[in-house]
Amino acid sequence: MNSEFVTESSMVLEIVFWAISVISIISALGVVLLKSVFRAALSLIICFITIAAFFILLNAEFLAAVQILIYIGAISVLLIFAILFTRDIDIQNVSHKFNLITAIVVGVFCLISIYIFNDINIKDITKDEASYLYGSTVNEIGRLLVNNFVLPFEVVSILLLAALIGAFVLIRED
Amino acid sequence: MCEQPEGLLNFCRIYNLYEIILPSWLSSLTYLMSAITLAFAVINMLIISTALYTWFERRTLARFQSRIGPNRWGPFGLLQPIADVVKAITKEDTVPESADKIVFNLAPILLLITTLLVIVVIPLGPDSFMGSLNIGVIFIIGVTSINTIAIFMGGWASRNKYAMFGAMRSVAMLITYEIPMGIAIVGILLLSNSLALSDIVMSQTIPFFIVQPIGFFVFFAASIAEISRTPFDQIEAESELGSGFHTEYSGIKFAIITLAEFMAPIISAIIITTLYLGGFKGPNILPAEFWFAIKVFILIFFMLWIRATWPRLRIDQIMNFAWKPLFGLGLFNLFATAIEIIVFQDNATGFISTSDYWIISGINWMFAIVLFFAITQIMGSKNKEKIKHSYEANIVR
Repeated sequence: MNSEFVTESSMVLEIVFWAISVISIISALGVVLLKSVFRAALSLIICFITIAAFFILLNAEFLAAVQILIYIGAISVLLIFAILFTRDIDIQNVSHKFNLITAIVVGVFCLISIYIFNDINIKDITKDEASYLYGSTVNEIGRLLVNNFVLPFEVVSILLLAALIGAFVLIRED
Repeated sequence: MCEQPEGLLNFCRIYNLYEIILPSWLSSLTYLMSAITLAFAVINMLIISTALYTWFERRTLARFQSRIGPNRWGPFGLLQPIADVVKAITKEDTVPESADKIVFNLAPILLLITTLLVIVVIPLGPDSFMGSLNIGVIFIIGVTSINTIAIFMGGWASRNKYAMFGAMRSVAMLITYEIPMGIAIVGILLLSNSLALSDIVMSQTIPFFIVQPIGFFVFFAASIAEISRTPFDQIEAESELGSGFHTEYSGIKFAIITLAEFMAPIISAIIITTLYLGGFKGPNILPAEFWFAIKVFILIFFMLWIRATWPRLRIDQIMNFAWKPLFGLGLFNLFATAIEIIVFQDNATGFISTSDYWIISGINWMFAIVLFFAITQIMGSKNKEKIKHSYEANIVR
């Protein structure tokens, strides 16, 4: 591939990035503003998909696939299951009342997170450098999980096991 | 110019072709045009093979049931799929009065898209693929899990009790069978050391279904359940639920759903071929793509055979089958594979030699025979006791 090819594809990437951003924001607004809960859940799924697309743009394919697998394949399905099991959800829709306390809490949280993300110097490492450094992200993530972060990894797995057993205890018939 | 111009369905080959054909002032379009051409070719290949498959399935099922099957239009009834499609399109397209129309219309499209997307990462030949991701396997699992949402959308938007029940049942089943499927795949990943499907194919010096018979059985059973065919077709248990989540669909939407449904066996046969049957590998008499097609065809015929001979299971039996035998077998397979790799792996290169593969497969086949015998004995004896108990209870009453 020559240099012309690369510049063209980077322009395409720019267009794709902005398109995905717009879809992401619109679908996120849809989650909050749509009256029908089921449609709001579907809109949340679109938002998850766009986030997976962002990961792909950042050369983090593994994160993208896991995003789809866990957030869409598992969490969204669970959400929709909960919606379907709720009585009369398709007739009565959720009201949108303005809640001052919620607004304040969310606003403060937003400000703090913006402050924190401004503090981190993300631009230290560019996208090309990252993919050059790590090659395939899968290998690097696997290596980190079994070397540097073994303890958190095992603690999380025990936590998940405990949650699983807890669920079994709750639904056991006797 | 683009490198690697071999392979029947190769992006670079099409790219180079367009560079010759197109005038120079259109050169910026070459990339887009070649991508669209490749996608068009692959999608139509799938759709045409699905149409032929519907004919094949109906004829073969008829043979199993001592009938003739569709034989009127074209030689041996080969044009029957076209007649079916024309009939479906010209039918009235009804939408229920109280349905959520947007979601109702989107559901079949999403179903077809998720079924088609899997083909993107499959290597059809040494250089024939649409995109070679280095996370191929996870991509497949992730994309197929979106299927459940399409079924949910269809069932919910129909505002029909039976459509809803069908959707709920099938989604419960799909989620359950994803677990043994995932565990069976991990066994393969341990052997191949890579998530990319082309690497998995190249690492199969012996096809993995010989090396891991238990994993192959678990994956095969789970994928038949994932595409919800008999004996796992709770998704449209005709005698109980109308026809499941697509009860309310008619016309072209019904045609799209049926297309996705009939394409699913082909897709899952393609996945199994890639993971377990050595993909496009074969003796050099035929091109690699032909070997791939032959293996897929054999698998499809095998699935059809199962469909023709086995009755439908009840929903509780299906769940039982997933959680007890399949889950246990999958975990055992994973455990056994991990230990065998530690024992047989060459410390210098990290690979396992072909002769060691044969030893591993011998051990695994022994395990498989013992375990299958034990499981059939345990499950069978439980059922016998149940029948005996209910019989005695009836006598007492």
